[in-house]
Amino acid sequence: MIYLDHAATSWPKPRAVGEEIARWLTELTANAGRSGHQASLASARLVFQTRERLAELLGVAHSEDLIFTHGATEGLNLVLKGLLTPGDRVLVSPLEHNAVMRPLATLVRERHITLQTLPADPWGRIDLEATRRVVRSGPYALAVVAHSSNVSGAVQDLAGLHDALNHTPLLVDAAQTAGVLPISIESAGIDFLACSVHKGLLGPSGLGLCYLSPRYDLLPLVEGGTGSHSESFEQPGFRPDRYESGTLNLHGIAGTCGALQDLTQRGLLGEHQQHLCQLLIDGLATVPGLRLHSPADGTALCVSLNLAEMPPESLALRLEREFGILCRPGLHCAPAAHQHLGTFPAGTVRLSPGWGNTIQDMETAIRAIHALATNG
Amino acid sequence: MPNSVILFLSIHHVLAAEKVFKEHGLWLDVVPVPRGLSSECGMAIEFHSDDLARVGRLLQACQIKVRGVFRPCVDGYREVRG
Repeated sequence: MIYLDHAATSWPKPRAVGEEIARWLTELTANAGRSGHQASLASARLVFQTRERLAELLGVAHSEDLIFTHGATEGLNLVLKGLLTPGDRVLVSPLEHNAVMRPLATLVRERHITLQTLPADPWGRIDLEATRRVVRSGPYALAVVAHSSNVSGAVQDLAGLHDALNHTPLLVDAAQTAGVLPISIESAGIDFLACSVHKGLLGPSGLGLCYLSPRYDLLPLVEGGTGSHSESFEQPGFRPDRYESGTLNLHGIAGTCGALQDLTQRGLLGEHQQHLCQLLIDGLATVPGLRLHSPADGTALCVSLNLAEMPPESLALRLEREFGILCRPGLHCAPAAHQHLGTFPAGTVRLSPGWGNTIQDMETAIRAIHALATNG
Repeated sequence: MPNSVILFLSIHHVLAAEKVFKEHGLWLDVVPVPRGLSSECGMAIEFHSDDLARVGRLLQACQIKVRGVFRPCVDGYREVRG
């Protein structure tokens, strides 16, 4: 079996992920920040140390600005619904996932915000010069950009974009790039960033992160118990408590702590992932009837394609049944991206290699698609 | 001299201070919030009262948010920094 669905979630996980989760499940584990005993304190230390390591990895000076969420989707919702007010104008890249487009659609309906799609090349990479012209027609309350598309694998130039946006607040969806590409949030001028830990960071599912610049005071998405200021019915005004009501996913945090130990040894995944994607792109170039929807310049983090008139779901099914290759067909929860790429509504087949995949895996996938193209 | 106590906004800030104090070689103990100081059920930091001035400078330099710093007195504690 060859797993090429890392853009959906990573597999396998580093051994330390399972070991840390098992340790915190089997040993005495209390609720972090809820009691005054040593077991609660040990849990709080785990949360604190993991948050500190993540802050260091992502270039955040004060770890309290890094909020634990259930995933990237919750972080994106937190920023969009906590920041935007009636009548706001918002810039979006053409490659946004429904984790962005659905809350925005709600805000268009309920808060009468308006959306403007950023100009981009055929792969969805934002045209920075054209963006400067768009920004001059502002002001815009926010720009929302996926660091890398989960469909085309195109990577955005965040430094150039920050410059082109000319102080328009920037929300980055880093679901596909946390743990993959270098990200230095505060030095890059990013105001908000959301990601999960189960993709490039190789952690468990059910945990995400959201960076909130200290320059903004957003409304919380959820309110409730925080273990602090318990005498008050009012939500605390300080971070991280303001945005972390309810018991944290301690076992997810433990697994993430394990993943970070491994990352220290392994490094970021981007170079490996881009190398494997480029091998696929080069190897598939001569396949008859193949249409590629990813940039072929060595930057793509996943590869989207169509083969002749074969429906994506048929191609994916044959790759699994005949060759043992697991990949994802369809719209990838990103219909906006498929509209931009011209692949809506049928979608594409996405091959997304990651940690654990080898050059041999790519060669097998290339041979499989060649065979399906030539033999039918 | 009995130890002084710092109350924080949350456990995150307790542990942020613990980290900084350890890095600077200051003795501390993370303890349950003394009943006489607050009805909160969280944690506080005890430190040597002789280190009061140094602790104050460190908290300010590291921008760690506190609810108050308290010195022991005859009838309990007296706040020295809000």
